[in-house]
Amino acid sequence: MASIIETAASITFQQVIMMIIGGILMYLGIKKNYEPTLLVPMGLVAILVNFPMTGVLTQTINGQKTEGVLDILFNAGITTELFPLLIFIGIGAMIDFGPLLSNPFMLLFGAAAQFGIFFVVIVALFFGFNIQEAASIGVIGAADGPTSIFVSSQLAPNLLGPIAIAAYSYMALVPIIQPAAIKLVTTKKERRIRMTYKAESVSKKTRILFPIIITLIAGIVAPVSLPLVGFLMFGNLLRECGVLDRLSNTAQNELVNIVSILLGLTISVKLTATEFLNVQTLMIIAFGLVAFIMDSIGGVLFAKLLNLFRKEKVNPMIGAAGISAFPMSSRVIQQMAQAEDKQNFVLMYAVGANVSGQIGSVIAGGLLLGFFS
Amino acid sequence: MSHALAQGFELMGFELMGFGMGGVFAVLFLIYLVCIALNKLFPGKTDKK
Repeated sequence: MASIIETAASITFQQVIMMIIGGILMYLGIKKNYEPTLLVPMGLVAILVNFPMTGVLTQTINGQKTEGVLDILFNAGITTELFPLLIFIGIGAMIDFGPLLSNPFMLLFGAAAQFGIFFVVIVALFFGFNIQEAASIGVIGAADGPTSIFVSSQLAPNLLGPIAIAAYSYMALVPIIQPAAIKLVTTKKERRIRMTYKAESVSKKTRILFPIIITLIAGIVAPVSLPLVGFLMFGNLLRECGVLDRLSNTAQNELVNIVSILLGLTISVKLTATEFLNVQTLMIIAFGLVAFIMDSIGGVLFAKLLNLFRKEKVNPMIGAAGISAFPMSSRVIQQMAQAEDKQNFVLMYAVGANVSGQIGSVIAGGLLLGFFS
Repeated sequence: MSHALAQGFELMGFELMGFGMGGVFAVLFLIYLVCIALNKLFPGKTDKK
């Protein structure tokens, strides 16, 4: 009884707040179905790590230093950047580059929608973060959890916790954030623009050569991005080569599932009250939201700019699909297009832009790392 | 942080923005050209009626 009272009394008010945040994360994952694969483990670990004297984290218990299991996993998978890279194999195996290869023009939106990253770098610098920290915060706007972890673990490991939380939370909130951002910069008439889809089949040779050539280009142009690009394209090659279906299925299912469990557990190691509850974290979360919104706006404005010169107008909402949150963003764009006009089908274009956003965010992450190397 | 240092950081921020956005556009444009070349060299099968 005495030990129960002692444990309860040693929990601080800040730790209780973190446990409530953990509860909210689990609620969003379970009840709202927002990225449950990550938010549910993250939520529970937010509770775990805020109990004192448990040995979950490296702690001194009864005068003896005990290495925590979550710290062991963190050092093995996040510090070494192993988990985000393994996840990329699975993502690569899941992505069908077909819609992009049949409409390569969509690649430009994958570039334009990275604007928020660099916009927030300036904002974060203005608020006193150093350049490496600012770059890591900006990457939240890539809407790409593994890339955010990969970049911030190299440039600002001290900010890894809040950056990972913000990146995954905003990815989960795409259906709420993007429509608001898009409506801010488009008119109803623009959102009703129809695009006729020319379904052109893509040859098997093209599908196989594409990931190989992208790897070569990344290796030459942005070598620091090669771990990210290489693993992503390796996963895609497994999918497209036609002789490794068993490995492709494993990458898409078992590998992604196992690494997602480990990733969800380990990124939450930084959700302790002392590391998380401070003004800096709140600023990072706010800047992440700005980056995300500016990415969407950047993509939309670029599409509107192109429309000034094009005969066949592009629905500007397609530009916002150039972020990396795949496939959620393209679904949101299609839903918005149909909400304005039931006969408007922009999904395949949106998927093309969304897939190019995946490449764009990885390249942007690599370029940020390259800038400092 | 001194004013000069802050100004230096912001300049670096704009430099990073130019490098990053320019780099992303350049790389993706290169990939765009690659896609076009691949589609020309190895066109997909068209449905025969």
